[in-house]
Amino acid sequence: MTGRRVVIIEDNEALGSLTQFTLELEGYQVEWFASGREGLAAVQAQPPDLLLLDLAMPRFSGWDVLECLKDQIARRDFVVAIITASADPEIKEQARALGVARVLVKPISAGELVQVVKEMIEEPCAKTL
Amino acid sequence: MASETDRARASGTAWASAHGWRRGVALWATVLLALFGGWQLLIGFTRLFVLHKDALFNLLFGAELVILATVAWSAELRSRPLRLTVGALLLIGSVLALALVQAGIASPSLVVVNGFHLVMAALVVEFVLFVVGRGFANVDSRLYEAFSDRLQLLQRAVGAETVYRQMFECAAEAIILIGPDMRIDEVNPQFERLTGYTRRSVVGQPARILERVGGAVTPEEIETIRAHVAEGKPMLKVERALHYPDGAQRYVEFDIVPIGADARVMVIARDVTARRDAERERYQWLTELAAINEIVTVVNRSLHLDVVLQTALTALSLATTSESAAIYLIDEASAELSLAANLNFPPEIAEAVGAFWGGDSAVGDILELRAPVLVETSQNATHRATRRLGQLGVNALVFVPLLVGDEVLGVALVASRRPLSISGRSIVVLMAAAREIGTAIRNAKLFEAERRQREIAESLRATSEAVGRSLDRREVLETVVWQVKELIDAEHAAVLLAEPEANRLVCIASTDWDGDEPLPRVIPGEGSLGWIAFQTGQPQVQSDLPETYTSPELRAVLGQIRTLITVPLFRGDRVIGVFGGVNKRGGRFTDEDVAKLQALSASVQVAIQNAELYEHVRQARDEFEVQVRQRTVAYQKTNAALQEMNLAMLGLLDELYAAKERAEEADRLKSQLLSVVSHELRTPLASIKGYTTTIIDYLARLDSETLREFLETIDAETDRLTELIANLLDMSRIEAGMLKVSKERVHLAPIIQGVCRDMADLYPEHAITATCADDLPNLVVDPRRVRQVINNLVENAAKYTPPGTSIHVSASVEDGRVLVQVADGGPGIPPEQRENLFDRFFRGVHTQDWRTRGIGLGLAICKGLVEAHGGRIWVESEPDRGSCFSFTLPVGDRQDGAAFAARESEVEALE
Repeated sequence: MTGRRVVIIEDNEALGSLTQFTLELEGYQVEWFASGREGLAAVQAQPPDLLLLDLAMPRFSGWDVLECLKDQIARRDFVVAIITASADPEIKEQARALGVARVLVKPISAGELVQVVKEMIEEPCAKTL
Repeated sequence: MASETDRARASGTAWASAHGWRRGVALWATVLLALFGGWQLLIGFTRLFVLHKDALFNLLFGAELVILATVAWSAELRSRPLRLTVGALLLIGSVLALALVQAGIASPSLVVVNGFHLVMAALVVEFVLFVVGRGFANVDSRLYEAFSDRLQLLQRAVGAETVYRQMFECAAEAIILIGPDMRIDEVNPQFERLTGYTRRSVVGQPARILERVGGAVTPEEIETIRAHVAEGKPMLKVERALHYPDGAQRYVEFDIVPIGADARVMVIARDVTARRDAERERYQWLTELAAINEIVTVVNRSLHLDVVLQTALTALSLATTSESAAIYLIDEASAELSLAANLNFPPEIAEAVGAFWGGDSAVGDILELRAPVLVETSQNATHRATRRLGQLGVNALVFVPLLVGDEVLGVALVASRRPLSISGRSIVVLMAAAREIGTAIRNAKLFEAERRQREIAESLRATSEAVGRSLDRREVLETVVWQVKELIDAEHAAVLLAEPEANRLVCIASTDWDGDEPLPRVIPGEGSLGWIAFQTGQPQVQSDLPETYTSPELRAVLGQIRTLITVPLFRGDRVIGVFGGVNKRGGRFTDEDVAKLQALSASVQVAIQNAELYEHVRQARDEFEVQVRQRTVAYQKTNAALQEMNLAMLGLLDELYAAKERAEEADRLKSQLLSVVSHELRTPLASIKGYTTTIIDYLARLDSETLREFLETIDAETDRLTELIANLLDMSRIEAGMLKVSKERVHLAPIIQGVCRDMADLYPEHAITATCADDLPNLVVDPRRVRQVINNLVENAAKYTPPGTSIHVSASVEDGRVLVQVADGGPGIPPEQRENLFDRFFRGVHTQDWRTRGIGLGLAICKGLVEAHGGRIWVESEPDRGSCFSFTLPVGDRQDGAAFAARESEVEALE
């Protein structure tokens, strides 16, 4: 459980750094990228156990990242959870179609975040709906 | 009878065609034999008289021939033994004749002659036996049967005449026989009974006389049925209503039947009045049953009392075909009838009907009688209410008690402008309908009660959940007051604890108050309702606050409080305070509200008690923990406040959704609105939530530096959120035309300078300057709002231009208006963006870096604010030369100035 690698792609500095901080407290090895392109490069270089991805980012959005990682996600190289500020059910559908395992709607508490990360890393397949 | 005859005739015809010639030969041969035999007998008898010797011979021969003819005629010839017998007889006759000649009794010449006769006779006999006999032998047995049938019929007819006569006399139907001459041949006694005409007066009369019997049957119809016979239609049926001299009316059915081929006609008349009545009765029953069925179906379709009442009214008015209907229900508390629902029921009629509920009127007994009552009104009636209703054009009223079992729930009332008749059956129908409506009302009421119970249970659950979730007294109480507010649908709710020694109540938790004057946090004991509830331990409900409210704080808010409810809070047997609500939405507080609050009261008390106990325990802990606790409490407060804010924002989101539905603006704006607002509101919330929950969960593991950093982030995000909400509120006020502008006489220069100073602090990398013309007049504007506009424009310029760009604010007078301009030396705004710049949620596409994120309301609000002041705002821009935002403000005239100067002093006094 510990030592697992989590990559966070989140353009909001406050949220990104907090997520990194919290997950590190829980013993995960965490990398946080504030732009889609940087994060994508890191994931492609070395697939993590879990990718936490923000959808709404300027220029290179979470959708673009998902599009580029489509094949890897399909191969189950790692699991992806997206964090979005929109409760639009359509987003959920689209994300699921791209192989995203969980869709988290902001705001989420630290407890929820940790819970979800634990679940996804420990039993990624069972949580893939 | 006719058919039998026909059959016989038919079989005869068939035979004739099959055996025509044989039959002819046989008949003629037989007739000749008989004639010849008869001739011989005649000669024999004649000769016997003159004692001629041949007499015996002639007689013998004649007899032979007659026997022969008779036997031939009978079909018995078909049997061979008989033929032998006849042959033997003829042989004996011939021998006898020869003997007679031999004996000399007959003349010898006769022997030759008669020998010839005999030979002829033998030949004839043989011929008959052989040829004609075969014809007879082949006679179809049907011929014989036909003959015997005819005979039998003839025999029967003699007896039948009597039978038919008897039937004619005793028939249940009236029977009229009409002869070929169209005169009445005969009528039976039933005719006399049915029509009232005697037999003597009609028999022999022309058939046209029947027309007089209510036009019973016309000769034309009789002619018609005669014509019909030719077409093979055996009968004509007509039904007529007969009117009797005494005014009675009966329905009679006539069958017109032709008899035989001689143009005689029989008319059979029967009284079908009873059948017709029964049919009509059944039809009416069916109609009314259908109406009841409709009522049952319709009223049971809903469990909401209002819907039930309305549908019941519609169904009642349809079923009784009356225009207006109303339902009065008995109020459980006061046991009085009150109007619960109505359909086309004008107030003046309702008022007049009200007079019927008195004990002296017949309708007053309806509750006792439990039966419908019909009141026929008249303009000349002595009863005042009846007369009044008559004048109002109501012709009849029907009161129907609404029953469930033996209990009367109320009265349904149907008013008609036409006369109504109530038969026994209608009463049954109305009562059945009323029972159904009663049951539906009862069900709806039970459902309402159930719903209220659920509501209370839900509140209790939420309260105890809050108690379970947190032991912080403040948080619990916050939850409680919100629950109270929701539960009794009040505008405001509060919990107050008593301080008996200070003779006052102090508010420890309350919901927001929208009134102009703030509600006092401290309620003095003197005569206030809360104090009465505290002292007596009894709930207090008041619709008009008593004049005993003497304290100035309370008198100040008297005008804003319409209704008030307070319920005591107990600890053990001791009253420790009160809680309750102010201003019930759309009405006044009821006993039900009191019951709800009392139900909630126990759980409130437990909540307060638990929280207090817990706090006592906490206070005993060491200093560090206390500190931590205090911090945590602070965060939780923030959290609670944020949750409140969250609620407000969700409300805002709802409002925006509603606005979205209403707006007929472009879809682009709508979808942008949704995604932007949702995203922009959720983003700071996400940070706040994340940071606070991290602090709460990992407090022990955070060093003070991190903690500080986190709290600062929360603080910054909260500010951002506050600003967003303020902007959204401003925008929605502007859109709803609810923007409040409190104008006062101000000078623009200090405002502009103030803005520039603040902005220079905030954006030190920009060069921000300002110039104001010397002749700037005083303006009558809302200084806060004008400042907001200038602030927004300067901040925009700073945000959307690279560092180092110059920003210049200027104010001058032009065409009697004050012109304010904010110009920058930035990259400028592309023309395609300038158009929508002042639209809501519009943001430049090139401004996508983190710091310039925003909701896109700034310029839209500026536009709204400027326009609210009667001004105009616009932008000019050139690529790479910068942009210039300008707006105008009107210069207030002298009168305005004076009015606002007076107002100014008021504002100052308030502040």
